[in-house]
Amino acid sequence: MQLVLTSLSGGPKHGYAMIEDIETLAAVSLGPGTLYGALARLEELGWVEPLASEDRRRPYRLTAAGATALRERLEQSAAVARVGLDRLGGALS
Amino acid sequence: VSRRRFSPSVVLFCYPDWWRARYAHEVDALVEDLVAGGRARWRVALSLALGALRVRLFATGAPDSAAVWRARTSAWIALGTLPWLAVIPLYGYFGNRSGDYETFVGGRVGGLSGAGRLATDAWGLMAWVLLGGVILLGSSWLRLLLAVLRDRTAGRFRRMVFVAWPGLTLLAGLAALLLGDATSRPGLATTVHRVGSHLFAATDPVAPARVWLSVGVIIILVGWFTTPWAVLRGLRRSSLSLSVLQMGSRTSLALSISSTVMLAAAALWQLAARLQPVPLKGWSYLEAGLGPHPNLYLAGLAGVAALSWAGTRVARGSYRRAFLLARV
Repeated sequence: MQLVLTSLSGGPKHGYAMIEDIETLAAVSLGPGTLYGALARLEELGWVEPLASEDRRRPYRLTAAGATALRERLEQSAAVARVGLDRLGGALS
Repeated sequence: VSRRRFSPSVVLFCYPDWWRARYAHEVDALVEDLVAGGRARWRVALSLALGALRVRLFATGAPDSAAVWRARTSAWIALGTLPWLAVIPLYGYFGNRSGDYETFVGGRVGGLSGAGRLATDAWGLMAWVLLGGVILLGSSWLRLLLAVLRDRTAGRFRRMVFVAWPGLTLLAGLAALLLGDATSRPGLATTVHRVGSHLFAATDPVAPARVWLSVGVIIILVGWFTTPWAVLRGLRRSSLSLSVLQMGSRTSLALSISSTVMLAAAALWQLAARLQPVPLKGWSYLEAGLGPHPNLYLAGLAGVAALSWAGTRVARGSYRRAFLLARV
């Protein structure tokens, strides 16, 4: 879910654009079943919303609540990463 | 020569109706893009199939509609109850072995040890639970049939035929068996040929009685194996009342418990029968184990119990949600 939110933090995207973006930024290849499972959950939580679309490729965007949730998660991950890197640095020096 | 390749989008039919109404068109476009981008079709199809399983299990994103949750409840009740149909052939093939001593003519009969008595009790328990399950399944099916009959929504007759399918095929099969029995005459199906001084007996392969008996068995088997599909087709688009769904989820729970009891009894029977001391040579002996493949029998019962519990668990949760939504 975090990968989808991170992808949408760069602007609205439709399914295929999200899969390509996530593959580039995290080297994770999401399938359509996984992506739409996450999108349905995020939509239920009110963290993403669909935009109107003229063709079948419907874009999604991050909501304000989604942006807040993503920020909290990324800060937590960053804090854990910082601690881990500090400890690695101490162990290696 | 052009060859039509399968589209992974066919897997979208595994998703519930509400999900397809909301997402199918955009996922279909995504599948086209992924395949055009070089993604293997089988990987896309597998991802969709696993996604369908997750949506069926957890109903993520399902709307707060009593009709959607009622339909979900009835589908999961079917999963909780229909695997029980496999218990009867499983028991018939593997489990229907006497727990008593096999007797040798003129041999002495040894007494049962505590383990032997436990084995025969476990075998008896299996048979009683099976009988109870069959009665419960039959009575619940009759109530379901009446509920579909009372459901006034469109396509009632078609749905009723699907739900009635197991009973109709059983009746047709029994009628063919009775007809076969009634038309059979001793010796009618056997022709004796005389060649020289030798007599040869040949059974007429197309004797009417034989045909009717075969037709009866085939109808019953086809009816039995197609029952899950037919009942699920009958339940599709049915609008069953909450009281019927409550009865169904209770039946599902009872059958889950009974399949677990049967599994425990079968395991106990097998274990206890092996602990019964082997009598002296020439004595009668307690049959050990559950026929030629006891592990297959236990694995089959474990599979039925696991499916049944999964169906019961989701059905009860869905029923509670449908009940709450109906009250709002």
